[in-house]
Amino acid sequence: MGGGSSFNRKRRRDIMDVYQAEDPDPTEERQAGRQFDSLGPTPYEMGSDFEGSDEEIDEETAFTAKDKSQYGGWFPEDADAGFSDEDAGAGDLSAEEHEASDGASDEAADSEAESESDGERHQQVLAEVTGRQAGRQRQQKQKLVTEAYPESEANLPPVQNGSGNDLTVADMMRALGKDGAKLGKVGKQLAKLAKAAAPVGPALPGPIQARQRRRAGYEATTEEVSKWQDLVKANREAPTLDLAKLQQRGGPQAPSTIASMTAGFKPQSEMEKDIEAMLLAAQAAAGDKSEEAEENDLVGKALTVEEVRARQQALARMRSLLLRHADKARHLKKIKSKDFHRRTIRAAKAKAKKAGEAEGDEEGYLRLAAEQAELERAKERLTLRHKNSSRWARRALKRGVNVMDEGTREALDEQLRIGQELRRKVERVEEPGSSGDDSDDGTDASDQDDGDKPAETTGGRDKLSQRAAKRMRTGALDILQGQDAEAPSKGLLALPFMRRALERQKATAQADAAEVLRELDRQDAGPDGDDETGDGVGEDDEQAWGSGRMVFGGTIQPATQQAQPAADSGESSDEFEDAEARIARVTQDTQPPAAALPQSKATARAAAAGVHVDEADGLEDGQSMQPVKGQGMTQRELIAAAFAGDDVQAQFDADKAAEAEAEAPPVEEPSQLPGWGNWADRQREPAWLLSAKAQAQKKREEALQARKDANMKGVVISERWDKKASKYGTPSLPFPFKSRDAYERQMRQPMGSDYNTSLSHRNFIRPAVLKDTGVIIQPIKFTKQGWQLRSDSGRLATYPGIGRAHG
Amino acid sequence: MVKVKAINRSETECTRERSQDLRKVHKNLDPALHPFERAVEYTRALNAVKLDRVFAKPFVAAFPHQDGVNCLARNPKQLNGVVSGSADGLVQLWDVAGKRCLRRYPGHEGAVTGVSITSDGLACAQVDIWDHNRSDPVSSLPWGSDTVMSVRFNPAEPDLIASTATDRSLVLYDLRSSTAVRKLIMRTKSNAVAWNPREAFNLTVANEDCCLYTFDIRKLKTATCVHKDFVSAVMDVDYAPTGREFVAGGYDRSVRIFAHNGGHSREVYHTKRMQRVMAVRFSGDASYVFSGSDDMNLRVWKANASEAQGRLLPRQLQQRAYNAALIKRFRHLPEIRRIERHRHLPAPLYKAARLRRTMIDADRRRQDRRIAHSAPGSVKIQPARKARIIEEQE
Repeated sequence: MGGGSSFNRKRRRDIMDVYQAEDPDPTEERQAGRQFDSLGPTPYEMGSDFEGSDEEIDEETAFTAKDKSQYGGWFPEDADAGFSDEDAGAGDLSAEEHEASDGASDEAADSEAESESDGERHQQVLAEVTGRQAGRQRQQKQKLVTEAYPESEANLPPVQNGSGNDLTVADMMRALGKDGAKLGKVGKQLAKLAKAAAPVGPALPGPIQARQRRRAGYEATTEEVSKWQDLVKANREAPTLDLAKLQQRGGPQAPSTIASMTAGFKPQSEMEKDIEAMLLAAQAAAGDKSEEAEENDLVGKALTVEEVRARQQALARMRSLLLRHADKARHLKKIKSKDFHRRTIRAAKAKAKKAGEAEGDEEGYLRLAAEQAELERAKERLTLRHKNSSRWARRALKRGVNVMDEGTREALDEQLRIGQELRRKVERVEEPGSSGDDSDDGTDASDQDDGDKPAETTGGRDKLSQRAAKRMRTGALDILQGQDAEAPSKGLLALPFMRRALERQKATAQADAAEVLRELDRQDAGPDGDDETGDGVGEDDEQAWGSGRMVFGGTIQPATQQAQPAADSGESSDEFEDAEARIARVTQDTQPPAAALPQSKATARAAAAGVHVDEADGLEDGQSMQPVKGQGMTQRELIAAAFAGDDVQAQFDADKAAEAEAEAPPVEEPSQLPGWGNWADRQREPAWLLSAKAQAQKKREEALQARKDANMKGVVISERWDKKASKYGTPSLPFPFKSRDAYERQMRQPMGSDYNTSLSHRNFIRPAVLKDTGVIIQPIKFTKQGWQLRSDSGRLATYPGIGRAHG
Repeated sequence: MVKVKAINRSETECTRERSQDLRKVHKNLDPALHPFERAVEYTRALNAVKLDRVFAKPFVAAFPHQDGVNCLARNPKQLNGVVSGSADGLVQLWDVAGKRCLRRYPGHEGAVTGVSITSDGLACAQVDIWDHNRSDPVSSLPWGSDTVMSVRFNPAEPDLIASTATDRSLVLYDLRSSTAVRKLIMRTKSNAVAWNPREAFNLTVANEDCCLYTFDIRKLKTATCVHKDFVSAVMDVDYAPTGREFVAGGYDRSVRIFAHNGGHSREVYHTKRMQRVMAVRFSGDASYVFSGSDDMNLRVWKANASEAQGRLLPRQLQQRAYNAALIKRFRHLPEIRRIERHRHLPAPLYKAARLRRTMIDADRRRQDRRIAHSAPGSVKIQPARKARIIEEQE
């Protein structure tokens, strides 16, 4: 497109100069003699050349015959003279024609046409601004010009033009029709051009412009200062603002190490310079110089091969020695003392035992216990150290005590001592409430005297229990007959609910007493059985002694004996029978099979039945304090009996009521004047008095109900006004707190060093701002790095501007 | 011979070998051994607050001028130097620590109305931006035609400037856009303005209506805080470098120190001979306050009235911190609050304050009655933060 570029330029200028008059004179000429640049004419004033140009070009002269031949077809009046048809082909034709004429037509004609169109626009502007017609002459002229759009060589008819006034590139392209699609790249460029060349509006008035500038500036400023928002917030919320540390970080830092101090050291004073010179002279100056010298010295020294070898050998020897020493030390460290091993073994045993117990199953426990007992028994049987029955002992005794040498006597004494010890142990086991070491096995005494002992003790216990039963019986009878104190007619106990409670208590006590009596009767009715068992035991004892079998454990094993009447071959039977079988037998024989062994024994003893159950050779002991069972009174009943008539709850309630009454606000209650309304025939109180009393009562009840402890059972919360304590509290919540709980929590925590560790004390008392007197505090600075850190991690402590708690 | 037992403590017992080792504790911290901790600490707080009042001796020094001191400036690079300009046209440089005048700069014909020490080459007078090497201003930022009372650069955002003028305005300027950005008109004139050095968007103006107003420049429609207590016009204001408090001097012959968000002053300083306070400044380390007044004196005060001067031992510091913490914790309790807030005021000041309170109360009462006798919602109550603001101009 040869002429396309020039056309574009012209067209663009036309669009930009919407409100400005195109002056045919050059600018220099127009502005000669003027001092300042002048802006284009504003809508309020006419261009300086407006009138002149308008007058210069007449309507008739402006629109020449040539123009008419070219554009006449656009005017409705001369439609027949030019192109008559307005069909699609006309657009194409006119465009072609225009293109052809563009190159041919001279510049003068062009400028003429433009000035003409500009004149028209000025007219329009004037009309817009002033709101009336510019003048009669022009009015008349306008009658002649009938087109509704400015006249131009490149103007298109309004039918195709959207705005009516402007010719856009799009319109031109449309005129190309189908060929327009072929333009491709050029078409795109044209579109872009059209967009870029939008018309520019007139400059706004100065004040308005300034206001807009200020508004924009304010927005920018607001945005700029808002970057501080988070930082300021964090600083305000920080418990401590450490400005001292901040200034240190920002200011010149003191050198921290000696190396850093010496690195940058330069001698300044005279003395420093002297010393430096002396050091240099002596080649002792710090730093690189001396090192260099040393290096040089070392280079001068060369080692021979022998020297190197000798040195290596010496090093190797040292290394091996070191290794051996280390090995030895490691070995020594592993060796443990005898004591250590003994302890380890003991601990292992204890652990095993504990594990057996912890297993919880009785079987494991019993098995372990039985095994242990068997071991002990075997040991004792092997040595018989507690008896003077060995051949050696018998001979020594036969020879007489006097002739004995010292060692023999000691050995015999030792035997006696062991025997006595064992006997003592056996006896102790028999005594009620005794407890002893159960690791050693008990045994029967060798002499015949001890044989009766258990029977005697059982008899004594029987007596005791009988006495206790008698006492219980009398007590129960007393209760049943109601020989207690008369019910009080005065005081707290006289209150109806207290009296009710007492009666209830009495009834239960009587029931309990009846129960006890019944129990005692039952025991009295069946003493034969008990006696029989006791006898049986005695017989068994005799049998045991008679059999000559050596038995270990508490005393005798009646159950075992019963189970094994033919116990004459005891030793052999013991040997054949393994531990588990024996345990099974023992547990079968004991009466309560499910109950734990120690308990069953204690129960039996407490019942004074005289039944002796042998259980795995006295493994249990110290169980004799088990609660008595089967005596008719449970623990609860016992406690009730012990605290009979002690109604704590009622007393507490009464106290609480009295306290509440005392603390309640005084309610005014009207009372009758003495002598008024008190006639014998008029005992009734007047209605107003009654209602006032009811009102007062209601108020009192409300006050009581409003107490904090009104619905709390067993709690009294005092609401007495404590004058001394009042100075520690405040009626209203102080400002930063939102809840009383939070306030109380803070106040409860003391801050002093005598209540806190030094660290927490220091944390408590750290001031809100830490600063150093005598150090200038610089204004806050915004650092990109700190900002980044803050926004990334969200942790306040990372930002240098925020004081952190340091411990 | 009496055996004297000397207190001794071996160093090995009290020093740790490794940092992980526990420190030896010389006291038993069992709470059972320390009963009544609240009562004990209350008593300590009471003693602390009493001691605080006993030791409150804020006045440090007074430097005489030949005429009333109109303006003050401190050197941002040097802690020691304060410059004061007086009504006789003399500017003096003071060595505060040595309590002496270092230099006198005569030369002004009339009174010195503004003095500033430059740090970065920019000094400002009215709203012309000057380079101190040039004879013409670098740029001018005009808005309105009234006399500018005070101008301040924002210490944190050096491109922001705030000024107050006699047309009751507070104007913000931004050097980046090289224009004024916003104007706030209040009911009364603001005498001075100060930026918070640690909160870039907050500033405080000292107003003629006895109050100071703190503004967030992003929300100028309402003040964030109104600081009351003066009984006459507030003449000058300056922030502490910590940004947590500021000092203000009043026409009522008092200097007051406010918390940056405190509605009432934390401290009030006055002396018998001190007249109208025309200028106040905080020292660079936030420990001292300077005030220049009509009675031809530049005065130096402690920022914290009961603070000890000089170096303190760590134990003393800790004790003071503990006392301060105790007072802070128990401040709301009646007895401690009474002692802590008690300040002796000169009779005229006290009476004026009482009168002012009476008037304010009467106003409030009147307003309450008006509300009570009007249709609900017909009486609009303006909060104090908005009441004195007329408009925000763009």
